[in-house]
Amino acid sequence: MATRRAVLHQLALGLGVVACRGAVGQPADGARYVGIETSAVTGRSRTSFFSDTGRRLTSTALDFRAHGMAQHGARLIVFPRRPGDRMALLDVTTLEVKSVTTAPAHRRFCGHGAFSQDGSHLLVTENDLKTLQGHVAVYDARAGLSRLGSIALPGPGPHEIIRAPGQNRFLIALGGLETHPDYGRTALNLSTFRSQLLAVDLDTGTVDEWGFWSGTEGVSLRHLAFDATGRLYAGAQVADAGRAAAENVLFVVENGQVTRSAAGALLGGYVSSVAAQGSTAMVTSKVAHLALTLDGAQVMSKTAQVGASAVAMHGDGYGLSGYDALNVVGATYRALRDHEFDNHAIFVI
Amino acid sequence: MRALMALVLCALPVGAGAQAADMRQTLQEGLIETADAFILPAYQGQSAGADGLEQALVAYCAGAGDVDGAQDKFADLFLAWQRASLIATGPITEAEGPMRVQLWPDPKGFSQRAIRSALRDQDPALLQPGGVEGRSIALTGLTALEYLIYGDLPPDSYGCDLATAIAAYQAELAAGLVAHWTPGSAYRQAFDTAATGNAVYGDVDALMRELLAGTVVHVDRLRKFKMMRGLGDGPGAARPERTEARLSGLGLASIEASFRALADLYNVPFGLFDVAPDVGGSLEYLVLGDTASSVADAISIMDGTLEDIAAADGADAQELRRLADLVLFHEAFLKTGFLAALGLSAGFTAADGD
Repeated sequence: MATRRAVLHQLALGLGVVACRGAVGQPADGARYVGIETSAVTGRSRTSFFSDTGRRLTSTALDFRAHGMAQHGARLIVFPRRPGDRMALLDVTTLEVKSVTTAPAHRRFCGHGAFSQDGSHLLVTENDLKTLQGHVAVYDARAGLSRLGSIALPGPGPHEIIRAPGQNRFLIALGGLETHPDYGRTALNLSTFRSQLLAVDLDTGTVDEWGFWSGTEGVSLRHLAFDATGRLYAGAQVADAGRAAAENVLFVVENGQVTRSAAGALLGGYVSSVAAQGSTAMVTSKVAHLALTLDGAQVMSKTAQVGASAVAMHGDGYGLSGYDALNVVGATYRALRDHEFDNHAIFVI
Repeated sequence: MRALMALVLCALPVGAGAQAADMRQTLQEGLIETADAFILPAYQGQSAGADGLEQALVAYCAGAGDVDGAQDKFADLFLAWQRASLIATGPITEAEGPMRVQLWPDPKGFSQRAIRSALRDQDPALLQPGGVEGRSIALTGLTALEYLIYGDLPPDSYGCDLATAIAAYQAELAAGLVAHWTPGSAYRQAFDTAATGNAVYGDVDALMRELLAGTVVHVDRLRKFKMMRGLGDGPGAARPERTEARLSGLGLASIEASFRALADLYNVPFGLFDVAPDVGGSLEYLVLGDTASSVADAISIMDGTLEDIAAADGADAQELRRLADLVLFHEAFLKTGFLAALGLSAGFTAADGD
């Protein structure tokens, strides 16, 4: 039988929890920049929130290693590093995990996703473990995440998916590499794979292949960004050094014309991530320890950064992190103890 | 007094910097010794094993030897690789990485399918010099070779010639690894000068992290795949069909070789682990080395194959499960303990991007 003292104790605890939730759930500064920090000890990530005013707000623990993110309104989806099977829905106002969604059996997420224009749907790149072919999963995102189905892609290894500005048309970097989690991240078709971009129309479900570009033999297209002028930047990584030219890892598509940027030669055969804003873009390479600012195919500036990986742009500012340091609009942060900044980040819009 | 304080404050970082430089130079020398005394010999063993297998297959396929001889040589190569695979740093990580040598576990049976397909198609191009290079790793590694050599392999057959071609590819691959790790090569130059920074390794910390990360992957595979995959979590959970190297019966010897390699890596005189205590590092490697060696000894006197032990699911299976738990101590030390004792962060996860 509960004593009065015990009841009061429970009540006090309950009130405390409610009070704490309110305090934690409504930070004085809003989250502006979101990065991923991964622990070397556990291999799991934290979603780290930073404010406009130069404050580290909090780091929300995840039970998987995270990779890319997508945001619409207060909803932030954190995708797992491939071949992960869970993605988390966070609230960017309370900075809390609201739910975790698990991939169906025989499917694994590939690290990226994107919201439809009105935020009602979420598209996520996937690997089918039975066929090793790529898919785009479609989720109803109006209330939590409920899976509607998936769209088959004409090849393996989809990676980043982005939405074309002002449309429900999505671009996908189809990396071309067959993998299966039972074999780690080893490519099972390394000597024969090809990579291309795809366009998916959410309204019709049609998939358009952009075809294999000259010079992309042995490189896997992985990261994408549109700038405000409609130029598409595509970053690649050398996978089969025997077939690839290391400088062929950076492309700009403008008015249907594909231009290989000579700046790719500076990136060590590896583009970590791509971001764009206004008429400029930034690409990073953790191999070359370098971030480039681009206007189309032209290099505007270079920034040295050890382990340069996550980059995001917004307004006149940008956030850029290497393994252990993050710079966001003039403020510098060190990674959490035993953690490093991982591959991607975004600005909360 | 103020001038004295300024002098002290200025002098401290300089002193600390010199100390740190000395520490890293000591660690660099330990790494070089580890490369010379463990890594290079391990690859030389793999190379000798692959050469021996190729020669045995050439003889057997020409009708001048017996298949037992080829199987013995396969065992030499297979076990030499279990030792060398502790190192997942540098050239072996290129292209498809270590799975170029051994694609296992292979739950989808890719290797078996690749061999069946090759035997059915009998493409003569595969048998040409270099014809196997660039083909699927399902076809070109030890798992495929085991399937051929321990299957029906008549002399003077396409399958025999295919086995020879795969062995030749493995011999070439192993010789390349030896060349890369031989002092004076471009890679060894980068390895040996990490302390001063170069295009491959920004500093000796980066090299240590890469080396240790590779060993962590190896010990994780040792526990999860080589041991627990077939033995399961406890009595009644054994799955004999999931054990390694069932056709050759080398699964138990593979585990023994892995533990032996771990012990030998720790115990390289004046190697990385041995010099670390001189600069504040941990002595834990001594206990871990002894433990790994004892585990290898214990496994060496077990009867039967790993598949038999899993099928019986008796005392030996339970003992192996217990020994598998000991691997977790190695994993913790290699993942964080070693570097933490030196005052270095263990952060290295972001380097393997996507």
